[in-house]
This record gives sequence, C-alpha cells and structure tokens, in this order.
Amino acid sequence: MDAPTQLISKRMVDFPSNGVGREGTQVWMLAYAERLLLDSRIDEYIPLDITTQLLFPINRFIGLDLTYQQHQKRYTELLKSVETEPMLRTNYLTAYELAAVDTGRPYLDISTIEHPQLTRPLMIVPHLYGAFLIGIASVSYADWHCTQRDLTEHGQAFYERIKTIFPSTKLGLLTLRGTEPLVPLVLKSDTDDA
Amino acid sequence: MRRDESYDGFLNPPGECRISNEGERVWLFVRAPTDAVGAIVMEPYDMTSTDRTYDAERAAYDELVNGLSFEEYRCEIERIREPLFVPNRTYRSDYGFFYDEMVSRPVLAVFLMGALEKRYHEQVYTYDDLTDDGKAFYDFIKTLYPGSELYLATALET
Repeated sequence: MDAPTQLISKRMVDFPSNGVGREGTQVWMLAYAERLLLDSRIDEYIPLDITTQLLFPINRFIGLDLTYQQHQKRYTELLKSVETEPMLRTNYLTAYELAAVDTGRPYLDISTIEHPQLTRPLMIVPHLYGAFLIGIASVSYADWHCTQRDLTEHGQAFYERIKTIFPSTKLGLLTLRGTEPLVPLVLKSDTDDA
Repeated sequence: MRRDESYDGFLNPPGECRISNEGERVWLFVRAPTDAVGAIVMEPYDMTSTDRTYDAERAAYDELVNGLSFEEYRCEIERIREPLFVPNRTYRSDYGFFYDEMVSRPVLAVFLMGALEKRYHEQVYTYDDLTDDGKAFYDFIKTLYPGSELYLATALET
C-alpha cells in the first residue's frame, strides 16, 4: 500500500508478519485523563473541558489493551452460554461486541450518539487528553491486538513521552478493523437540509 | 518538574497580565492529508478560533461590525473553518437531532496542549506561544505525520 501506511513517518507498531485478510487494521494511542475515570477521586481539582472523545461503530472494535483480558474471558463465558441459551445472541450485539461492552467501562462504553449512515451502535472512548493514530496496516490479523509489547523503539519512546505531559495520564492502545475513518464524515451537502 | 495539579502543558502565555477569569484550552489537531483515514472529533467547546484561521475570522468580524448580516458572517466563518471543521451532520442524538457543534474533518491526532485557569491571550495561541518543550513536541508531531496540516485551536472555559 499504500497511501495510509505512509501517513506516519516512523514505524511505531510492530504488526504481525502474517496477515489473514484484506480488511486492514489501525492502532490508536489513547491518553486518558485518569482522574475523570475514577469516581473515587472526583473531588480532586480538574479543569473543565480538557478532554475529548472518540466514536466508532462497535463492529470495528478488535481490542483495547486495558480491557482485553476481561473482554476475552467474558467472550468465552458468553459463547458457552450461547450453547445453552441460543437467544443470548440478540439481533443487537454479537457475543464479541456484548463482551466488549460488558468489560469496557470506564475506558469505553456504548454510546447513545448515532450516525445517520450507520446501522450499528457507536462505541465511545471518553475522557481523552488526546489520541494518536500510531499504526495502520492494509491487512488484518488473526487473534491480534496491539499491546505495549508490540510497540517499536519509536513507539515506546512516544508512549513514555505522552505519559508525562499531563497529571494522571493513563495510556491505552486501541485496535480497530479497517483503514477508513472511524466513522464516515457527513457533509451538509450530503443531507436533505443542505 | 511538573506539578501534579498543573495542566499548563506546553503553553507559554504572553505576559503576566491576564485578560479575564475565563480559562483557556489549546488543542492540537493533525488534519489528515486525505479524508480517507482518521477520526472525526467534535470542535472544542467554545472555540475562539485556530492559529491558521484567526486572521480571516477577524476580518470577517470587522465586516460584521461594518454591516455584514449575522447570517452572512456565520456563512463566512463556516467557509473559513471548512478545511478543518464542518457543520455537524455526522453525530446525531438518539432523539434524532444533530448536536449543534462543528466536527472535524478526519484527523490523525488530537491532543490537549494545555489548560490555563485564566485567560492570558487576547487572540489565539500560535506556535510562538508554546514553551520550548511544546515547540519540540509540535515539531516532532509535524515530522511524524508528513503531509498533514497542524492547527492550534484555542477555546475558552466559560
């Protein structure tokens, strides 16, 4: 490829060598304002309006390093339940998606925000000082999500740098399916009220 | 060394004199060279302007003072911000209305450069208003994402 992979000048993510599909993969480094995630410390001083959020459709979600173990455990539990309770798999979320929602908080959650062109629910990553696209690949991988161990030397150095800028920064690595934007941008000219 | 409670980040406000008690927030946006990749994020709440659009927005404001209608002024601001921010038709509430904000075109990164509890800057923050560390960070981000455009967006905490 490919144009998308040339968007980042330094290789920060050591992607696996063997891709299994052509869907593409992207990795975002997330810098959470951890104090906002922890209710127990909510009385500490925090300025207002210092965070942003990311939104993406739930079917793009592969994994977040901070929740991956619980996610996989819950997924296994759900799959076992499906054997005895076939109705558990609703028409709303797959077992994988439901497990991601069940184990995502406080780092990610299902959102009430909708996208006019998407039928799947959006996931929201809240309370972010920021987010950086640090890796993009034109292929997809079997059973892989990015962890700190998958960062190159450049990636590790960047990770350490971002951690030190603001108080109480918690970093996460979010792996998503596809190389396209997290959601399609809708312009006014695309809509009836243009 | 960074104080635990300090959110100054990379900001080096001009002078000691504060303008008001409104806080300032400065965000770095890395606009992707193509709309085919990136994240779409909300425009910072109560954004004043960006370093790249401030002069044009100021000129539009002068025209408003000199008789441009508010609707024409609003359209002009929309046109000026259009390379980075567009009216929101992307994120809709579950009640079916679009949030009354602008959203970014796809960005490869967005990051808070600092938050101050007072307003020190009459205009908007530019590269020159960053600390040396801030400039080094900005320069690094610029080389990390070649072909992308960097914007510093200043917002008020009101």
